[in-house]
Amino acid sequence: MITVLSYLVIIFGYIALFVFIFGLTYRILGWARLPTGFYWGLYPRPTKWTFSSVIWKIFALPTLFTTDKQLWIAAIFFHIVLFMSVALHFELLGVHFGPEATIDPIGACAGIIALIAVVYYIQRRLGITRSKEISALATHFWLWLLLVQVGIGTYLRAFDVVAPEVYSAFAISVLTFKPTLPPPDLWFLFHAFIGEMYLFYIVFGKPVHSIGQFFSQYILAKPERR
Amino acid sequence: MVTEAKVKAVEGYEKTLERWLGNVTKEDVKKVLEMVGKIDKLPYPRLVKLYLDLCSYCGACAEECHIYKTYPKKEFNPAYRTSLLRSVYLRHFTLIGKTFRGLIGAKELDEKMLQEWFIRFYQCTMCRRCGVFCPFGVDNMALVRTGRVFISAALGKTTLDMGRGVDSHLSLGNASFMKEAVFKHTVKFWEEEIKEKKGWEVKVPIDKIGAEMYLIPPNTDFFHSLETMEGITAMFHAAKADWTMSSKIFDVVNYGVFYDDDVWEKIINMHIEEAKRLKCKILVVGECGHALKSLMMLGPSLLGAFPFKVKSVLEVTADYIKQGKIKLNKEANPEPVTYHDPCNAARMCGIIEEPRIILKVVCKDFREMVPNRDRNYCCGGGGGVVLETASHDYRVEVAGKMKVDQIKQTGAKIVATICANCKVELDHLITYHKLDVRWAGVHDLVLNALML
Ligand code: HEM
Ligand code: SF4
Ligand code: SF4
Repeated sequence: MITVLSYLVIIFGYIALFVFIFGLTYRILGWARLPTGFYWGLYPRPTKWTFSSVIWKIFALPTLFTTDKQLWIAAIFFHIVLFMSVALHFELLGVHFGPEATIDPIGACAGIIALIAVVYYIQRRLGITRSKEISALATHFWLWLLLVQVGIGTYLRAFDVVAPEVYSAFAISVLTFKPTLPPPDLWFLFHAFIGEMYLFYIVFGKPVHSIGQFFSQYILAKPERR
Repeated sequence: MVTEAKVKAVEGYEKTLERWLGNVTKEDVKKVLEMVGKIDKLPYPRLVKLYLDLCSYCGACAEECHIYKTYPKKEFNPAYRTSLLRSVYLRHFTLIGKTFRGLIGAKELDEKMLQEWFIRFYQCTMCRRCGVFCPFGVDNMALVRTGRVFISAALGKTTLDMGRGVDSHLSLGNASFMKEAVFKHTVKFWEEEIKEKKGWEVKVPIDKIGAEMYLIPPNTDFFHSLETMEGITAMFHAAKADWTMSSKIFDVVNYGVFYDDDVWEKIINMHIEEAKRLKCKILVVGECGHALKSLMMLGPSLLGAFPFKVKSVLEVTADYIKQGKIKLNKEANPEPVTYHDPCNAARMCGIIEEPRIILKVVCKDFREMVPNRDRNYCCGGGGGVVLETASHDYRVEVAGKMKVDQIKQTGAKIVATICANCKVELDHLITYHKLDVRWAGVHDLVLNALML
């Protein structure tokens, strides 16, 4: 099992990275190459182009705050800890933000907050009709998988299952096209494999909003021309 | 609460919409699919692509849609409505949709789906309120319009009265089958009305080449809201404005805005050509919402800058007030007045403060309804829905229900607005719900308050 998974993680890893890089570029160019055409802003809006108004809309989600405060809180916390976890993953490339003794608890706490947020996302999709009635099976699937993924990640952090030097050596070996076998821990391998699946999801699924939003909010906040 | 009356109203209009689309064949489905495949060729492809890609089905928009809030069924969920287009696009034009199909919500376009498209897209009042609140900036209305465009371009189908209006517009230059003689007669009539009400001898300048302003009102005002025309005319008279109307192009409405790019372009070109012929400096749009959007926002961005400015008559009047060019007497409108922000005027064109500047000096007791301005709820007649006689019950029972509650809460006796379509809808709401309220154009109240 461990051997099969190890090879899967390496091979699938290459495919996932390829799709992630070229897929994302393809999608971004797909939007960027098309003309906006209609002047499609929504009032009120700035009289001159201000980057800050778009950034505010994207990072503070002011209208979601008006509509659904619970989702707003969940989304804000979820994305903050998501950002932290992603940053901590640079350890894979040998970038360390501090001694392991401080980083691991921080990572584990972020994981726990993310878990709570994902549980909220899941219960919301199951419990709130206006979201449930429009969600496809895949949406639920990815949320549950996210729960599993964050759960394993938190466990790996909290119990320091694999030493950073070990997984970073593995990651660097893959990225430099001289792959060695990954650390032989089942949970680590699952975490890596699901993480690779998520690279697909980022490109073709919901999280593409992380980039698409910069285009869509720009269209709405385009300064008036009158 | 979803009452039986609401259920009946909705079912009734859905049946009618189905009838209007008529029998759908496999051939029709193919034609529409071809259009969907040409999304990139639309005049506004980037936003359509983005909105197809970005929705996370979080449901926030549903919470903000007046229709869903009044009648929370799945089919009225804004994101469900647009998922109809999204799922077809996924299924037929993307690899993941072709591979994973139903699992990711991809659906085939078949005869049934096409019917569903027609019904759902024409139930939306295209108010864009949901677009204000989507965390990802997804504007469902853009997709609704795109869906209508596909059906119209592929099959030439739209709703009954809207289609008739456009036929009239393309042959006569206005949407109400009005001949030039009738127009001139109507002008005479409102000149006489001004004489009677104010004692002023006023002549409406017609076809005056080189006048500073060329006024085009919505034709509907001639038979539904003539006082608005009287108010604008009297206001220009009081301000000694240099203005004109045209004997040929006297209708600013453009139903193409609601469903068809070719129709839109043909009609807006009538407006542009006439403004050029009259050599005006400013094309002034009367009290009309979607026409403002057409001429102020869509026109210049698609057809290039015009050799004249476009203004709403509200801007003109508000400027006169600021410059002290007209004298107004509040006492003439003693009753409490509230203001309904037409979606197209407020959210789309930013005509938000001008009507308030005016109302505050022409009425004694002006009250805001809540929410207001860019967050206002649609009257229930937007997107061309009000043009259909058959949509009456759907509008008064469902689409306009929140507006009724909003108006009631203000305790106002007059609800003023600046859009011909909103006026018709308000009229129906007031009558049906037996409200102790009148509707009025902002310039109807200006007429009362004007002094020389
Ligand atoms: C640019 C900043 C971002 C903003 C403003 C943002 C905003 C949001 C919001 C408002 C939600 C809640 C909506 C919902 O329930 O679906 C959400 C959900 C989510 N976001 Fe983001 N996001 C951003 C970046 C990212 C990134 C970079 C990722 C991951 C790569 C991501 C992954 C997710 C996931 C997985 C969900 C849950 C989706 C679900 O409920 O199915 N987001 N985001
Ligand atoms: S608010 Fe936006 S992302 Fe959420 S369901 Fe509506 S359109 Fe989709
Ligand atoms: S545009 Fe208006 S009517 Fe249409 S779905 Fe959005 S809020 Fe509802």
